[in-house]
Amino acid sequence: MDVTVADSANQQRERQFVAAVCASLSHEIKNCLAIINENAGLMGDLAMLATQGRSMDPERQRRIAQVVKKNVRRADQLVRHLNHFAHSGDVASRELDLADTIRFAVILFERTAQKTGRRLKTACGEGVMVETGPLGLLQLLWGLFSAAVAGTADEEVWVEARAAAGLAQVCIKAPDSEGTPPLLSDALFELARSLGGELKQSAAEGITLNLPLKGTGGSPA
Amino acid sequence: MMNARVLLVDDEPDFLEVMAERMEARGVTVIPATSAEEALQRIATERFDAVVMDFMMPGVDGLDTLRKLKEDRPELMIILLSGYATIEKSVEAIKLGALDFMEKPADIDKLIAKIKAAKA
Repeated sequence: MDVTVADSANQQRERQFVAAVCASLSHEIKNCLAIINENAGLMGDLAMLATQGRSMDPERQRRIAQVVKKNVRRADQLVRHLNHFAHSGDVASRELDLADTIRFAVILFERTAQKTGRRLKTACGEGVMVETGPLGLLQLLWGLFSAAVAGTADEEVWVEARAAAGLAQVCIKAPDSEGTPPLLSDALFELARSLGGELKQSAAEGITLNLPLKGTGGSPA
Repeated sequence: MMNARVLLVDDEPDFLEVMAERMEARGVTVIPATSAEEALQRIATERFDAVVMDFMMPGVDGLDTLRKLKEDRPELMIILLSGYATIEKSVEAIKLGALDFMEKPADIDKLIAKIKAAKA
């Protein structure tokens, strides 16, 4: 394929990923705003009834305030995630804690997984450091999660991370899944290579992403 | 009081509870459901003047649920709520028979007016 065409296709995939994450997070924020809006409306309804002589129950008001506070906190957390995600595009490459990156990728993917009735579970070894593109790694993990979720009827998909054989290793597998491994596109293999990593898959092991540990340099391939 | 009987479907309990209370205060009898599956079970055995349903709930595709609801009960008036939906999805939903598509946070008085119009 022509290099310019390939770059354009990669940029298009990156844009689609960024758009999907923004759509998912903004949808969640709107859900919080809807709950806050309805509780404000309920306060208005109760105030209206109070002007007509009905007493306002303090306990009811306390519960309304609690729900509003809860959803303000939830929306705030979602905006933090959106901000964190936006800054993942600040630099082409930097040192990353693999466990933190995976946990963040799982948070970003959570709603998409829920839509299909799936749940991602993590088991990450701490202190495994890699040096790669933050946005690219999140995009790759999103793509791998999508493939894993689409390729299994299991409710749970496990994401594990560890340092093994001088590499940083991410394994994604539905434990009860049998038979053919999830279908991975060529673009995901290419993205893994562009991050200095290597992607493997098998029916027994699921999906494995190997990345060089920080400071070791070179490619795992 | 309009005495409409509405099935309200949303996976967010906090939203469901307060929305039901506000709709009830406006003369609507609200039957809450927290999943598309529960909604489908309800409409198989009960009569409703309208269904107000979140378009994007875990484990289901909103369009698929809409299709199933209309297959089972073609006469059912369905109003969809969503945090956000593309124009394409909205158009598809209307083509499949949804009465309307409202964006969250929705104006409850507009929602009630639509339910009233559906019942008329």
